[in-house]
Amino acid sequence: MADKKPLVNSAGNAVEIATGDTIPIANGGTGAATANAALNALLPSQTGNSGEFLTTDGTNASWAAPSLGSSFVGKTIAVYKTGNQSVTSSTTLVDCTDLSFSIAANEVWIGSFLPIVMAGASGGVKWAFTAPSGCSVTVRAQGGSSFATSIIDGNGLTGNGVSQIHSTASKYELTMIITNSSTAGTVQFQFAQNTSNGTATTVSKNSVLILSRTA
Amino acid sequence: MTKSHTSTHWVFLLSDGSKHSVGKYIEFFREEDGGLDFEGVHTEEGAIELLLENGYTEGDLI
Repeated sequence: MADKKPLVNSAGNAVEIATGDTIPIANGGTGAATANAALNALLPSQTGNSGEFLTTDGTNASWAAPSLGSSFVGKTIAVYKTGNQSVTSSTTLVDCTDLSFSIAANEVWIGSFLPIVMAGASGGVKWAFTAPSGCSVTVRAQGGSSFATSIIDGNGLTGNGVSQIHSTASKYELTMIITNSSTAGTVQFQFAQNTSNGTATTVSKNSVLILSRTA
Repeated sequence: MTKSHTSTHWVFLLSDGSKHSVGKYIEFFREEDGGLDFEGVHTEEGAIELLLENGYTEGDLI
């Protein structure tokens, strides 16, 4: 019994527990008189840990930022162009800056791509995707002078370096399924003029590629 | 403006964040009739002229 002590108040007197009284943590209490204060007293210090979650190292609790893998099923990403990019007097495809993403082996992504394209009727635009070896890129594209126009391109285009030609200045919507094989790498959107012309073909700032991983 | 030319394009990066690729001069055969065709421009100066014709100003290209 020597290690047992009665509850005492701050003056050292034995007391009965009443509303507002506190029991020190060292005596099995919380040292607090309210629920929040009691919880805070027992948790690791919250200072500087806003937005973090409680975790454990197997022995003690601590705060940590949510940690998800760099890629996981359900992950959604959006990449968009931060500036205009043009190709002039050339039908040779160029990488479209900003419009790419990393893909790991055997991942499957579905996506929607909204390129805002400005092009002369003579030059037009053509586009393609490069992807790791064995990666299948299936694209369905529609568009024209506005998104309301009918489908102008075919479905089921599959394979590396898929390309489809547009001949007018337009906005487009591309829906795609990207199925990777055993080689990790980068999926990259490319574009060029369909016919070489002195009027620039431009993929505009804020063109956006939105992708979700499904497998 | 900074330059990042490649083997196929004259490439200019402007201060507004835009990027412009002008084809370097190449000759090739047209598949339709086997005739000779060409595209692109020979020089960096020619590429800059095309940028100016597309609405950019001398100020943009500094």
